[in-house]
Amino acid sequence: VSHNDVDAEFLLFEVAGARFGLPVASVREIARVPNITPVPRSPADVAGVMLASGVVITVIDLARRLRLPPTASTGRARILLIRQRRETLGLLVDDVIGVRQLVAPESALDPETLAAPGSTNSTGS
Amino acid sequence: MSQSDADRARLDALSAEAEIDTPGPASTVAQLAVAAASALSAADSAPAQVLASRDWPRPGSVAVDGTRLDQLIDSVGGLVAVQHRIAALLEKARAGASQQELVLDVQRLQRSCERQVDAVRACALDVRRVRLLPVLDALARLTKSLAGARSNSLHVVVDEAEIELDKTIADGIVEPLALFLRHLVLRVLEPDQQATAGAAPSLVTLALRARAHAGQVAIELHVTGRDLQLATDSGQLAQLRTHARCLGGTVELSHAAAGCSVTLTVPVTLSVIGALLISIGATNMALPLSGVVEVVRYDERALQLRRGRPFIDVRGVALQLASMSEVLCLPRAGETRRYQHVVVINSGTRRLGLLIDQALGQRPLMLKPLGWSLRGVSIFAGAADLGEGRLVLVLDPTGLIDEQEQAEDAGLRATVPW
Repeated sequence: VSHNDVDAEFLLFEVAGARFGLPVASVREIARVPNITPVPRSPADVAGVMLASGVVITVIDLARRLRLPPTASTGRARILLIRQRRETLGLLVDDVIGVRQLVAPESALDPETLAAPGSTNSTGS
Repeated sequence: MSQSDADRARLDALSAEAEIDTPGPASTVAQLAVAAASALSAADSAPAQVLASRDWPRPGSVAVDGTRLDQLIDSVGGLVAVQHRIAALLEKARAGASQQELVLDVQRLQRSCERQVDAVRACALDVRRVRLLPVLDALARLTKSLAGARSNSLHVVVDEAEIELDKTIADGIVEPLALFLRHLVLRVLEPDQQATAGAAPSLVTLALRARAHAGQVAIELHVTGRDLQLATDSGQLAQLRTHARCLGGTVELSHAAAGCSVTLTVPVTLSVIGALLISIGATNMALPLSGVVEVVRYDERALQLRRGRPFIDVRGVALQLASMSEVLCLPRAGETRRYQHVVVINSGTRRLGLLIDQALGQRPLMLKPLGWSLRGVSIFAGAADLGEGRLVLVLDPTGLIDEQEQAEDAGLRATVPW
């Protein structure tokens, strides 16, 4: 029997003052925030699109996605590129804390449920 | 400001130039085939042998012309030379060379770097081409297997003239085509309501035809011997259309006395397109020249309202207008703003005038598809790199016209779909 959530490595980061984690294996890259081009009429939690290694990536504003208040830019914001079945997504976070081994973390995000921006909790613009 | 034919021809020539997109997450036909096959195996009528991987083409091995490889190696050599020259230039700068001298050196270096990169790109494109025939053959075999016990009444033919297309495109069409064929076969083999009971089932022919023309390849699924109302299967068609659009392609449906067909048209390469840059408020966007008829100066006094919709007269023909800032749901950037231009776009015989702030000029762009999560925003064909990581969104003329028509059908103005 395998317990994936026990003693697994998580990348911890901050969004709107709260800490979250993602399984390290799902994070492809941590990038500085590049030029993000807003996409009119996209779901409300889509910050826009960016270019990474020649591919157009959809960037999700994680604060909006998690319905947290926006925070003032500190210059420590980063984009987490996460691999998914259909595409690689960019997640905009306020700060990256580091990699920790955690036992059954409480606020670990499931990379796949982030797959559908605006699917459940977005009301659109 | 009417767009001259010469300009058009020049840009057409530019868009015909071969260039490729950086490949996305690796996906081979084989992988997609497995995905498609597992989806197919879920269908009760799909026999297990459909999954046999030997049935699928293996584009992992690509035949490459030896001289092309030599050219590639030469170009890489050229790039290494550029690298050495950059190092030398850095030394020169550190040694205190004058700015004027350095600027000249950098300009020369930039030109030779561009030449080398173009050469590498051209070779890479050539190497990435795969043949379409094995893909169609595999789809034909799959279709035949799906028919199972009733395969005797289904005749599948493949008709293709030596077509090669970019691997990314070939990979992208396999799964949607396989799923659509499955749907088609199930429909084709449904018991014929009109046939007399006990009569031998009529022979149905499914032809997979492919033709290449002007940088596009049209793959036609043509059914004869059975009257199918494919138009009613909007769900399956819409899916195929979504996949096609991600690759910069289209899907068309036609009914004729001789049968009905669904035609999937995709570009042979993820290529450079000629584009018109436009501004709407503070937002810049691009339109593919292939869907632009002309740009005319907007004169507010010529605006007419017909059944509440705005029209202008362009050389004696009434043209319906759509305000781009409304279509894009952009906030109004100050009421003093004046629309200067109308871009006339077309899709087949349909036309629409887009009211914009300004047409900024033409430029070739490398079109890249948007991610899966933005597939719902059908007015965009993709995005393109303007350099230094800045992206510009590329509008889809067909999507814009479709949406305008749908909004009219629903008796609504173009508004947010969610």
